[in-house]
Amino acid sequence: MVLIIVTLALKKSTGLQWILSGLTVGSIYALMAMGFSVIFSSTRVINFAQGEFSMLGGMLMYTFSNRAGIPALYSFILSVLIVTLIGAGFERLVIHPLKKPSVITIILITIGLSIFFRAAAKWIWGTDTLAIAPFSGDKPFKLLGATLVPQSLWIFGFTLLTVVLMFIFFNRTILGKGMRAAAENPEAATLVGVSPPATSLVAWTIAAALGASAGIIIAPIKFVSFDVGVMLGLKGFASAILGGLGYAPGAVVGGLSLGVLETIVAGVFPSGYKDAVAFLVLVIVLLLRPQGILGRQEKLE
Amino acid sequence: MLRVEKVSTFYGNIQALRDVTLRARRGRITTIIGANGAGKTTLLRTILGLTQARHGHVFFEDEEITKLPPERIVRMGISQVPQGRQIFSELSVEDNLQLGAYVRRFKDRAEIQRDKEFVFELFPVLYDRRRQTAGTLSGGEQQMLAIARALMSRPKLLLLDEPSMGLAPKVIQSIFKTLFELHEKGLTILIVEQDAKIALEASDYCYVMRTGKIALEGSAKELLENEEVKRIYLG
Ligand SMILES: Nc1ncnc2c1ncn2[C@@H]1O[C@H](COP(=O)(O)OP(=O)(O)O)[C@@H](O)[C@H]1O
Ligand SMILES: [Mg+2]
Repeated sequence: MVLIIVTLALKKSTGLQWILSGLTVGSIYALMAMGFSVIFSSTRVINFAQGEFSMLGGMLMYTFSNRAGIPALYSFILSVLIVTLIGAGFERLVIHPLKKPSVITIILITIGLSIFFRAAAKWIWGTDTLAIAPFSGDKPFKLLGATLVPQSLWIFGFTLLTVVLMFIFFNRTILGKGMRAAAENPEAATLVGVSPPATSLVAWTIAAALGASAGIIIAPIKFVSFDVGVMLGLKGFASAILGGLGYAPGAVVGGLSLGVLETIVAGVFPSGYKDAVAFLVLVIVLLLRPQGILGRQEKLE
Repeated sequence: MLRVEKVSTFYGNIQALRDVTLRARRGRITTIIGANGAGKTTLLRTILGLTQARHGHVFFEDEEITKLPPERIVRMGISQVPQGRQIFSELSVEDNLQLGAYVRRFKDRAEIQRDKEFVFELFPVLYDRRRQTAGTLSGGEQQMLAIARALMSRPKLLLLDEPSMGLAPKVIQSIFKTLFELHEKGLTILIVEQDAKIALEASDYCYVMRTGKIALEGSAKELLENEEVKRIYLG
């Protein structure tokens, strides 16, 4: 598989085209995957509402920038802020008050939450597919023979920035180190004073912000509607699994790989097969290498 | 300094502690010995709030801490070196120490730095390995790191759960020597041990636990001469 990609990339400009397009969506998947990973590693919960954070981000962006005419940058900040507050508020108001909930309970609650968000979005924004203007025009340009839209650069830039910020947070700040400690050994983390409720709140806040940003920066390329969260969530989840849940660099590798893989499949096979790639990846990884590409074997407790 | 009064703790329907009463006096080394499964770890977990007591009370410096969450208790000045060390193996030695000071992360950076230097003096090998991932340390070094990490929160009372477990006699000796040094400096220590000989020699006062109960207690000297203790625990 890798060989095919490399050959294509070297031989034809279509190969490069695929890779660049793949990295564009792949960056979005990577952001989504980081959202899944950060919640999973600190609370062992899969947040099935992760995709809806993206949908809400895109929808709010549409409302602020297209409807209210607020400049893109401010609309972006405002939308991310609101979704982040929703994520944090949900953790505080719904998950936090539960006394010793089982992981499965929380997972079911996140599924309920995602259904609720979709219904609410349908009610507020309707079922139309909405278009958002690209951040800086839509005039395609050539890069090494491949054609790219300017939005792709925003996506690459933002993803890179996010990855760097995440790295700094988890490796250089005491709060981030505390989260890694809690991910590795929750009880020992408690013993040094890292409180699980605080860890959970921070994780949900980060995940919501990541989800919202991903949903907003992809919207000018892919449109947005009340149900985009389902696919984005699934792709992000598959990427996280591919990269090894709970391991941050893995999320990026998983996301980018899935993006490129998907684009190649879309180029080679009829377009309908593209979305099946994520499912296929999910099944294959879970069967063959449940710890993901970069992940390590989960320690059994 | 620490008072445990008639504490009973359950795991589901299984009762692991039965009316346990004990105290750890200020400035002393107190030990708890008992066979595997006697409930020693459960007792320490209950003191720290990791496991909730169903009945009874725990007081620290005359304040009730029975129902407080662990991080509050740590902040009040109790620190635990857990059984099996439980260091953060994927983080560096230095990060482990910094996390030990997590409860005071927002104040006194300079002091945290000084404490770090202090534990490096206690365990020079940790200084040599400060950038290494903690998982790469040897068992003895990991135990030292676990103790150093616990000290970083500036505890008034240090709880240790079987610090000698799985270590070579030489390493055990050096670790206990360090504990004595800390004790000299005024730290109150409560040690749980299966290895009764080490524990008794180290301590001022000792409790013997059996199937979730305190079976015997007395000064280390008394217990060293007690026939039953000699027969069962000192073999
Ligand atoms: N998580 C748990 N769930 C159920 N029973 C437990 C658990 N932990 C310990 N026990 C039981 O409680 C008793 C005391 O265990 P423990 O406190 O670990 O003893 P010790 O530290 O003295 O070896 C044992 O019978 C053990 O089987
Ligand atoms: Mg034990």
